[in-house]
Amino acid sequence: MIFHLFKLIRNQWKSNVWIMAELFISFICLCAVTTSLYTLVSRYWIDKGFDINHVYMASYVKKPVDSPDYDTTRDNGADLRELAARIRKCPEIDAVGFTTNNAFPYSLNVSRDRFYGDSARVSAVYGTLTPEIVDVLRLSSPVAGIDLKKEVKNGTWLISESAMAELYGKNVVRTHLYKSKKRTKAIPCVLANYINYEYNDTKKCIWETESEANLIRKQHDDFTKPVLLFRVKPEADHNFHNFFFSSLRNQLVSGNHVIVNITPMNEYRNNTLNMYGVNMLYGIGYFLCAFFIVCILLGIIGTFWFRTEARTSEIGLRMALGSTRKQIRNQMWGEGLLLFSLVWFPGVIIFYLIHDTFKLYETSLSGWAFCLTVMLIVTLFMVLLIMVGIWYPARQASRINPVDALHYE
Amino acid sequence: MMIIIWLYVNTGNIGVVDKRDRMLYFTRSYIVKVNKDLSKGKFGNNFRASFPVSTNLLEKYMYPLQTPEAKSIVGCYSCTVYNPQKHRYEKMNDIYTDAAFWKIFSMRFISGVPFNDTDVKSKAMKVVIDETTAYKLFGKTDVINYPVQIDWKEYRICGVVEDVPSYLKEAYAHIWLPYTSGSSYILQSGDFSDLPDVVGGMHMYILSHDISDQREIRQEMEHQIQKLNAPAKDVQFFLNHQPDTALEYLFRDGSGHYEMIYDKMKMVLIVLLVLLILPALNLSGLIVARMRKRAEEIAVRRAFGASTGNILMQILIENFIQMLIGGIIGICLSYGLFQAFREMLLTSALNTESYEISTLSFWHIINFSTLGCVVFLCFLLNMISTLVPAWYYSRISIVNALNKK
Repeated sequence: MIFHLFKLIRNQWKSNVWIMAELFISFICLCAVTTSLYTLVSRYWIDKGFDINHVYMASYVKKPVDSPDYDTTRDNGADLRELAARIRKCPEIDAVGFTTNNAFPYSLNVSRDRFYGDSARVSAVYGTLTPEIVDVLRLSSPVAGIDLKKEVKNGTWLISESAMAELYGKNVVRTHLYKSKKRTKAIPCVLANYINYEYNDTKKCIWETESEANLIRKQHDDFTKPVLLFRVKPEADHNFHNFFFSSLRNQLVSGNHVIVNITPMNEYRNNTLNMYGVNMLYGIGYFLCAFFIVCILLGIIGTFWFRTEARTSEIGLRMALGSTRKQIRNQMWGEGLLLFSLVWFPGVIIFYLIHDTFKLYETSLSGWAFCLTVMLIVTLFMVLLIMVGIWYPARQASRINPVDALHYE
Repeated sequence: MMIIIWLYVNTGNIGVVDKRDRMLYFTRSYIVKVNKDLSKGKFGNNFRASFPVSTNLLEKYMYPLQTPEAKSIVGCYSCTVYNPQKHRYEKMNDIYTDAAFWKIFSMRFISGVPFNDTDVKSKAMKVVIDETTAYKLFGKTDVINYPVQIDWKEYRICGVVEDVPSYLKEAYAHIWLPYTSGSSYILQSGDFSDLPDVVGGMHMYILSHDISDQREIRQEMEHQIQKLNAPAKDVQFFLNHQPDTALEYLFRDGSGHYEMIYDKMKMVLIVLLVLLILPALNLSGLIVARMRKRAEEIAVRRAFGASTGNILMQILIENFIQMLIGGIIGICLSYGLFQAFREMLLTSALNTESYEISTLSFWHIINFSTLGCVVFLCFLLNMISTLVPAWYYSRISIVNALNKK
């Protein structure tokens, strides 16, 4: 049977070469598209290491120094702490904390600093947070059994896995680092599961922990101000914006500071990713993947449909000579799949080389395992397309009256 | 079509921004090392910093420009407004600007008038607000001369305008104030190394008499910048090919060389071509299959005297009409899709706490310009996908076609 199919392919080699070229290009393109799609989807579902559900950011403003209402006698830091304390007193609130403007999710601020281990150094995103932030953002450690809440209370800093790997190698959980090259004061740090946002490649982060008073004192000036985050109890998180402003109406002003808005962090995430074009970029990625898949799908189905339809007279003749419909369908499927199998192996080699050279993917699987998985999925998909493209026209053609078929001759 | 709509919304003459084709944008200060090579390859090495422009620089060096029809200093910020209805402070988007702003943008005043040059020079505490803000603060729009507290200063409302959709980012705000009345942080001008008063938070919109004046305006600006740079020894101000047209502004990079604008445009063009050619090739296959079925009909027409040209035109026009119908359905679908994904596709001068893109007006998208684009794209798609099969089948042998060979 297989030799017969080879003979048929050879007899029409001119048209079959074009089909093989199309299958070859489609196979490589589909493999690339599947890899890109996997990367896009996996970035969305990555374990972020924090939880922003039921978390709100309180926006506050300081009266302009040149406004008539500005009170020069006030301690601005104490006023800000007073606002936080008032929020903390609300029974609907779980936890309240402060961070610097880069040490919270979706800040998209990646200002770095240099840190030192015993022998190595790392350039990592650096920010400060109060211990309560661990509760607010439900920060966790990748290592089971580490209680970050307890750790940060003792002034231990948080370090991400990739930063730790660069300083001390993998599998280190608790160690120390230095802020200066002279390595005078060792700062205890522990492995934490914290990245800025899921689309960020900078996964090297080091977060200093400070008491609320110190953080506000150090960070509160005309150009920077601490970020106030709080977690609401899930059962209270319904129409919370209105509830917050009605229940705290008389407590939103403290000295020169006024709380003007609260934003759910999920909304903040969406706004930030829209504003910085991240959503658009990834949206384009999804769109292009879908576009190429549809083009390839229509292309392959169309080609085999057209090829099978064009051979109606041949099919009729075969039927007149005694072939059954099943035999006709199997022969057409066999030819299509044989054409694909002829280009499959070169396709696999070329895709592996492209995959290995550009490394445009992110996966926990090894290179070969990932490559094989992608190729398996694409192969099954293409086989399906070829069979669909052949099945319907072959079925129609095999219903031809042999007399009509003989008329073609 | 989505790309066309995206380009049109960002660069077309729409709504109050109806003079975009004559508008030029001066939005960034680029500080570079003195007397260094500023070609694209070397720009990164000699670039020092980039930020919005300072008020002092714009007043001193750009206001004196002679060629443009109008020049307006604009700063987009958010301010704190006291809402007497809710008894609390709220954050709102505002624009600090001058009287020329009202010449460049065609705002429709529901009541009152805009502030004028004298108001700006005298630092008058006047403000224009939009309809929504008027309702929010006072429950009505007839609020001329009403007091409003903005950033703990009392202003008087001099005009109420119709809402500006947030996708018209050049003009969008809820409140427009004279820039001279702003707080010190709005008007601040900082030094950068030995360049005085260059760091700020403003930009300038320039209305030219004709877009062909761009080169002349740029030369005039270069001349002005030379005066600014004259005493500097360490760093200098670099215009980086500003002012931009709306299209150039859309692709401008805050810290890149201006040629990157054209590289990005090329990228978009390539994506457009790929998105056009790939379906065209698929379509070409379908058209061949259809022509094959109609080969007998074509042969009969030829047998009755139709010339190759007649057949070719007939096939091309037939397909063009089909594509045009598809194109019009496509633009309506694209409008719906664009509407659904507008927050992802459009950016606005807003803050991350209140990021909302207004619903796109149907007539801002579906108009003569976009419909013209549909006709052009359909024509292009038709030529790519139909010309070769049509040419082949218009020359088909009558006898062979009738015998289905």
